[in-house]
Amino acid sequence: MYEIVIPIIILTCLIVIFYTGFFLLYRLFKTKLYNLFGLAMFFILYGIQMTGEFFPFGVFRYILPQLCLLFLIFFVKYTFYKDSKSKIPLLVLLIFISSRILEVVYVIIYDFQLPLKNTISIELIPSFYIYITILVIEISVPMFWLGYKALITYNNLKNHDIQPWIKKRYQIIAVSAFFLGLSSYANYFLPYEGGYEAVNPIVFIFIASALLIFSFGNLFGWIMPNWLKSFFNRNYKAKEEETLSERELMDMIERKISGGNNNRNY
Amino acid sequence: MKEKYQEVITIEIINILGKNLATNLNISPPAARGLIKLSIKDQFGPFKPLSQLSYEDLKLIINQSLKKRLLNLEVVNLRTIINIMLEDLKKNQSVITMAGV
Repeated sequence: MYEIVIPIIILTCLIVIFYTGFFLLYRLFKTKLYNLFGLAMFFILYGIQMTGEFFPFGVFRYILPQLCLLFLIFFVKYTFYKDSKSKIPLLVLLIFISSRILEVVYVIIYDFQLPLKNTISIELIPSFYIYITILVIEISVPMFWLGYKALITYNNLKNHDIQPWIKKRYQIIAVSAFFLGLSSYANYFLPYEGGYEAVNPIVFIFIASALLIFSFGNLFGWIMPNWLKSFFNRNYKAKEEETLSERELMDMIERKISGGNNNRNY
Repeated sequence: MKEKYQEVITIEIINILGKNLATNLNISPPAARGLIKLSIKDQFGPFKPLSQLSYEDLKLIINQSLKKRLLNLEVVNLRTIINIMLEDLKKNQSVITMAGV
């Protein structure tokens, strides 16, 4: 069954992820929001990395895996942390780089590839779990960081009178990021041999669902169609603006500031 | 419809900044938003679309044209208000991207 289901899931997610990535690249040129480059590259490289399931060698095996997360880190830094003195972006980057180096070292030394196709000897089991831990840290730290930042900003904005679809976008992105981060923990439950066919159905369903939620969550989060925006905005009333001339507006503000005693004429 | 959503980019950040400015100056939020929009016009002229304002542009507006207008209005605690607004912009900077995509 897995032989049919896995390529279908991967192909579906691939199309969705590539579409999201190229749409963001298009929006980058349209809006000049250059921080979107990191996000667009994250999706495009993630898609290319997924094709590695079909070509598990060379660049796909040693260079591309998780490289997309480096771009995600830059996106979070330049979207949430401009002018910030926080050391968190640097810390996340250092954690990512060191775990990436360790991952490559483990792949070169032990030739681990998840899920394992051929059985490994008992003495390699501790190394196998160290390798999985490295992977979990490498994937979950940047994803949880994005999810956390989106959620914190959503909480800040909750009471602001801004359009609800924007707040929803934060929630959708946070949930998608948390799901992908969480799915990396499923690696601990992968079998020691047998490839995908030997994966426990519950673990498989969890990984597949997380991947689908991540892909479609980001699709609808970033490429939110206008009907969905209108649906989220259904109870929202647009703000009324002052219809005063510049002079009238400034006069009114000055009167307010000076407690209503100002009779100055412009 | 599409254009309407594109204009949202900076309008929403103006709403957020306007709310704080209104509280600090004790004026209505629409008046505060009007003051910010006038400051944008002072800084970049009338032809720059609101949707093309970046984080850096907004920082410049707060530091220069808005500051100048508040100075002319003889606002007390000018420096504190400017700092609060810059902090507010920094805290909510992601809205520019989230509303702009």
